[in-house]
Amino acid sequence: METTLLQLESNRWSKVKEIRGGMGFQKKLENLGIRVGVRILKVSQTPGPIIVKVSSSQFAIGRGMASKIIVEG
Amino acid sequence: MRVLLVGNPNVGKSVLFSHLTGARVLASNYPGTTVEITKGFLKLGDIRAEVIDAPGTYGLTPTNKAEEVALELLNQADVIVNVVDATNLERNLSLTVDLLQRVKKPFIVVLNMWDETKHKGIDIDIEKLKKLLGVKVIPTCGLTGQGVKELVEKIKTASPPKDLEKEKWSFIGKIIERVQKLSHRHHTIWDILEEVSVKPPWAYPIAVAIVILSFQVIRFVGEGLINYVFAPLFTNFYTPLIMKLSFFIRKSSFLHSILIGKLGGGEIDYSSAFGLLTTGLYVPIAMVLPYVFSFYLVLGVLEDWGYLPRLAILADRAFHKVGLHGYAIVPMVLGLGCNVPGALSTRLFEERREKFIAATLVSIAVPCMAQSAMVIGVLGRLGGQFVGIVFLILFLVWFILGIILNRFLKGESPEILVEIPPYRLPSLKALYKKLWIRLSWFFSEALPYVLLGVLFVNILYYLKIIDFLAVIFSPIMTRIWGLPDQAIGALIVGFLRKDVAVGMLRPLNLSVRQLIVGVTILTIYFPCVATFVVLLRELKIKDMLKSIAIMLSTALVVGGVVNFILSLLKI
Repeated sequence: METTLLQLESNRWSKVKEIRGGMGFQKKLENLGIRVGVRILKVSQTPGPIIVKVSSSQFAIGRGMASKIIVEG
Repeated sequence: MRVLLVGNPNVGKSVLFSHLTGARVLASNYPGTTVEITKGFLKLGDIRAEVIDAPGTYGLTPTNKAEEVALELLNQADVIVNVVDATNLERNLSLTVDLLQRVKKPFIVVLNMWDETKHKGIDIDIEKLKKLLGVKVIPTCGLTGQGVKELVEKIKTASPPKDLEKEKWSFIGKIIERVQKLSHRHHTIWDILEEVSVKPPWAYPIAVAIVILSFQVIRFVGEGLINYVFAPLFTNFYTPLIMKLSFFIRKSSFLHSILIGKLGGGEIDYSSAFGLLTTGLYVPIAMVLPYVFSFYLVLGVLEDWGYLPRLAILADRAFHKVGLHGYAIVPMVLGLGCNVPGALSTRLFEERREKFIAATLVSIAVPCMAQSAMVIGVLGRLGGQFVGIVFLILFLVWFILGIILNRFLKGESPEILVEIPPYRLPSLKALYKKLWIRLSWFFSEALPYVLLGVLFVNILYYLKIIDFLAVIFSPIMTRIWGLPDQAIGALIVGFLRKDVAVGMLRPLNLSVRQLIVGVTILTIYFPCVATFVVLLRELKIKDMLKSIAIMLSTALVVGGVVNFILSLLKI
């Protein structure tokens, strides 16, 4: 079964397996350093966006977007 | 020669720009402080170089107006200075490598926030990085200005990049592996605070406490300055001067009414006399300035510390109800100071719909500090709870109108995707500089309009234009809003300045209910002219007309409803 970033538990490191969605979306994430193969930490999940850490930057990502990012379970 | 500063958002381009040019620009600790191009000059020996500070961008394909602006500048520049956050090297290099592959112009990479790498256990080998990128690399620290001198020296001799490896990420991977060493470091108090402030459940009470505390400090400092500094200064030193002047000018002359205005029983009521030297100076300096000062003092701390993006995250869900995402808190908060920067910062949004909703809500339901200060000054003396009622009404208007717009405008609200900066201890020097920029903006942009407004009021009364308009608009004013028809004067002057307009309600001897209705309508019905100009430019004519229609009808409805409800409540 695949795990999305949305489903991943908080405080867990994982690795990005796949990013779904259009080229624009993929490019936008890539520019932020979120791309297939990078290690990603889910810092926390608010009722709104989820908070992740990639290398040394933190980002807030909306739930819809987070559900398009597939990570290693 | 044109030098362009380009880089990711929130890497410190604006601070560097200030160091290079001596020009004063706003800088903060959140992505998107700069949404416009700023130009300044730098002397390089015998030539004068133009330095351009552009909005931050993550990539070469623009995703919003601010990024578009930044990328257009690449073609016009002669030297590219790519500002990089040294504590975030890997991500920042993505743009650097894109630029190096695309732009064959003299190029310098600046490793900014160099001082922070040490605390964070990051060690970067600059010599190796230079070799791999094939361009000059200079470490700098925006806070102290360290490295800026070296940068200036090297701008003239910068050389264009050579061809690099085609595969971007493997190239970046190689660079990181060779130049960057990370050593383990312990969690600091800042890390813990950062974590707690975005982790439910504690994040919410913390946010509420910070917001309440901020407003309390704004009130405390603003009120304190008025009661203990400005009001006594005016009464003790300025009033005797004006009284002397009044003695020498014939009371019934036009000059007297323009300069000094109406004196009731030999006393000056500064907020209602409406002379240039009385109300024209007292309103902006003794009533508005103290609050503008305290507001920007507090905002500066919140901005530089890095709390705003966190507040945006926590407010995200609520903002989705009005068709926006959490980052729309930036235009709203800036709008509380002045609607102009609030409207400008809607450039951060990608979608036209999002921009429209944000801009419309800012100009309808977010009172600027100049207006709020006057509401506190005029209504507050009758009871603090009435000021509370006004803010509550405006908040409800904001929320309900937002829900309606979200419901009826085509499209949906995009999601938040934003970088969260680390917390930083605000530097006193930076805070002071920022406050100074904003206050001088107030003096140069607001003060002339206040004086113009007061002059305008006198002319309107003198030519009996207000009496004429009062008759025409009487049905709306009296029947729907329950205001005396003379209050139309305030609405006319409100186009120029909202603070002067609120002041105009004073001499009309309004009841509490009428005052509440009056100041509420004054916020809603139309933006001041300075905001209007920005909105027109940002929204373009078609959306602007739509927005105006919404403003006027909202004012009509809300004014009527508030008047009705307050009369039921016997206020």
